[in-house]
Amino acid sequence: MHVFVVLAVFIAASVEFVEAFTIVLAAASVRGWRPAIYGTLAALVALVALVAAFGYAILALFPLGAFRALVGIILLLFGLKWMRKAILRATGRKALHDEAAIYEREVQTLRSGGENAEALSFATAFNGVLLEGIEVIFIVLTLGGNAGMLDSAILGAALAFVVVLAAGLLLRAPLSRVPENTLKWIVGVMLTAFGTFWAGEGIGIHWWQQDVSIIVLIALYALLGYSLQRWLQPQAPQGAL
Amino acid sequence: MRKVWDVIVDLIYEDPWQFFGPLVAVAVLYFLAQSVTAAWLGIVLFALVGLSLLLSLRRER
Repeated sequence: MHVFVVLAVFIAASVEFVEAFTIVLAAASVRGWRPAIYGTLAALVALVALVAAFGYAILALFPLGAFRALVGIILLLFGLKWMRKAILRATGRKALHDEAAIYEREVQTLRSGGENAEALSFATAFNGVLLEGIEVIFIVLTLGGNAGMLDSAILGAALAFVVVLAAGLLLRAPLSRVPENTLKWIVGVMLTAFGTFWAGEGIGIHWWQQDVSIIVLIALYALLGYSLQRWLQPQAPQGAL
Repeated sequence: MRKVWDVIVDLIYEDPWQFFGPLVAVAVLYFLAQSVTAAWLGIVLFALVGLSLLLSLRRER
């Protein structure tokens, strides 16, 4: 057991797990836990299958850049859609809670046998966990493999997973008290920021201070969203209850 | 596959800028990133995505 390898992997993997957990939490807060958990589980199964099938060869075979770009673009599109809707709701241009529309939508859902929002939530959680999971696998295999201490690297990643999961579960209760549209506004900002970062990374942009740029992007998108909200000016709410 | 298509149609129907804006932004930055490695490219990507959001909200004003 090598303490420095455990620590190095713990820190690096924690960053990736925090990012993955943020995405899952965002997906769950919009459409409930079920599709988000299904998306997470499906991604975990895919990760286990990838490692079982390729082992170390995954480092050479997997086109991480292209995958980052694809996931980034998907999150960017979802995030922008949520941000736009939340801004329209906050300024009264879209109903905050329209029971008739909700009823109609549920009826349509039953007729069509599916719900786009659930598919969106599933896909968001799946993509986020798959991308971050692959990055953790790369960290474990490169740091642990190069040092000849794979067991230490796996321990570091496992500890990071447990710590981030525990911290995330503690955050659930306070998050549930945030008003629905505010939560969706925040989710939109977060997904757009993550999407911008990953899409940029995937196409070869060298971000300032790497993952720290995500925090800067979140701040910039929050500022942009707030400014656009002010620019639109509030209207009387449409059918809000 | 039908659900993915429905989501794309939803996005375009709500406002084309919110779908095509980010795609064009990423495509432009992809070609720029082949010859420039500066960190300001990230700011350009943010600005183009932000512009897409602004244009998609413009008609609501």
